[in-house]
Amino acid sequence: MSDPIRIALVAEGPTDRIVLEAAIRRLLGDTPFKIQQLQPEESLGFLSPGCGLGWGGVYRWCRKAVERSGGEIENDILFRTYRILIVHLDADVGEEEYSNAGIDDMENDLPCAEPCPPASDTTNRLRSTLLRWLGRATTPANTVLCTPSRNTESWVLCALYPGDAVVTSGTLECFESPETRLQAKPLRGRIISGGKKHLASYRARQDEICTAWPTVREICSEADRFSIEFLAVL
Amino acid sequence: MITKLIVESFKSLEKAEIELGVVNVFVGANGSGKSNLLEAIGVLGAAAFGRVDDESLLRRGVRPGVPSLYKSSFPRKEAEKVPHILFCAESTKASYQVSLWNPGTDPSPPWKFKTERLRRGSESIAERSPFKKTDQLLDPEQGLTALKSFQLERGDPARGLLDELRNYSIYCANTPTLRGLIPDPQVREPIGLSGGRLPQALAELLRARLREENRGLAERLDDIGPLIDWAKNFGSSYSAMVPLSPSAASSPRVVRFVDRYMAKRRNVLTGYDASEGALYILFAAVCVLHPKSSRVFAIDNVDQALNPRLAMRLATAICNWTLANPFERQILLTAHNPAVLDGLPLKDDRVRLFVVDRDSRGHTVIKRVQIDDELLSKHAQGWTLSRLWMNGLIGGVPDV
Repeated sequence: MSDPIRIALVAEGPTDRIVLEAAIRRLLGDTPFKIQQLQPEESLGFLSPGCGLGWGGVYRWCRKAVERSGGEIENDILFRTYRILIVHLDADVGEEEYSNAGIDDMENDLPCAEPCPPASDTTNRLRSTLLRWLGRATTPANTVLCTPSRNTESWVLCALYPGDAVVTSGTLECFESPETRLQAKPLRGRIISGGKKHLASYRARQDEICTAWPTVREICSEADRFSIEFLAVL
Repeated sequence: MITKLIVESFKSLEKAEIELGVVNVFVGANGSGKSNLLEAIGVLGAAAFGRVDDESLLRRGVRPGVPSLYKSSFPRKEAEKVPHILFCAESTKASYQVSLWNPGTDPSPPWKFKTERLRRGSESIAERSPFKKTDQLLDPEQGLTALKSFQLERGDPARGLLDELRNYSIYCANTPTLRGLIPDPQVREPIGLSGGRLPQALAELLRARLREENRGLAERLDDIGPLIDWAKNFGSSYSAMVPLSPSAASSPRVVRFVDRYMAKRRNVLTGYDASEGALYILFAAVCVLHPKSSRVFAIDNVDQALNPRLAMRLATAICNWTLANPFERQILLTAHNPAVLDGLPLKDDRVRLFVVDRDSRGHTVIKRVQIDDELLSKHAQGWTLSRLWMNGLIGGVPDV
């Protein structure tokens, strides 16, 4: 029994994991892999009501990992088990302030959003911020940054509804709320309703996202960047 | 909803008084008295029903015991000895208090009512005292309040409190019963106290989401699937329609899962073959979400057989389900997995965490853990509640 490629994922939420797993399945083809979502050690009781892990969780995980590894993230204990670390952060985090997630960070490099298009102006700045969280100026070895623009739902919209006007307009990566487009889709197969992302529905449509990944890469530059960088670290 | 509970001289609960929320989680060392507290409400429920005997206690998930074990037996001076056990439950508009006695030597199976008091606000509805001559003629094994309660109208807060107590039970699932291998000794609707009738209850729950009066149930049921991550979907089927070993004992219905990874047509498995963790998740979901569940109930060891991260997520889900439940449930849970603590949204006052310890005298002491500035400062230093608990910093750990 061969050991699968073990991939550690630090992502904002559980639906991001489903989408990224679909993408990786397409990129790896028949190669077996095991993806494990890592989460910061956190008590819900300490967080404000309704506040989940989100991008603040990604921040806290990164800071903890830097502390744990003595600033050498590529030597972190996680790499004993996992071959690759993926750190995900949506581009719309570029509009956030640290205080929104109850974080006190001296650098204050958020917000960092730039006019879109091009989407990369914001994602490049956000990647620098993310690298700082990881205590690095450049991407550490065996690590892949994933910064969907404006967020993972842009990729989902593209994969599941390629004929959507926003998708075909060529400005999908700058469209503010792909969630609202997904929410307006026919009830059958709808994955977001009442503002809530339905995990079970994301799961049910994961195969479709996997199949449509080449289309997502064509339309979303950040999906393509992620795919190239992921394949490069293999 | 029971807002306050007072217990005296019952097992290790020499004198306990706690203010309950909607979801109440009790953690503490083994033998600290968590289950005794759950059972105290069960005894009170039996009293509200009118008879406290083995049958009535078993029906509520309470372990029947001889008086010498039920009454606290801490060493004390003769003058301090209390001959009875006392229980009191309060809601915002009513209260019910009862004291029961049974001689230590030559006890009779039914406990005898010594005092009873049912109140609506400050108004007395039923009262019984051994010092009242007329009360001395009453059958001591029969509760007076239970008889009088038939005169109370629906919607009366006193009747509401009594109904909540009467229907209270302690659930403690076990794997063979959940798998349908052995019958549940306490079969109840919607689900037996050990998890019997799970397939039927699950079928009813899934059907209930289609009814207009249960709006919102479908959304809460959506939360179950992600907790069973290896399954594509789950449900309940007639056992004849699913692959099941003939040697497996089966009921007419079985829990059915579709494995995410297996090939089509060979990916269906039953509760008999499935991971036990999935069955415990479904069991908890049925207890909390089924329209016919009791208004007030307890689940002992809610985290058994669960991976820590799953236990944490289940704790969060139970809180979310309960707080959003139109049926206004009140739940008491015991747990041993530290991760459960990290899943509790404790900034919501309706969710309460209690640590249970035994003091130097052996008395059970119960302390609520509230998120205050001091705990928040620990959070700022990177501490979690689970680690605070494991380090003994909030109490509730054994000295081993």
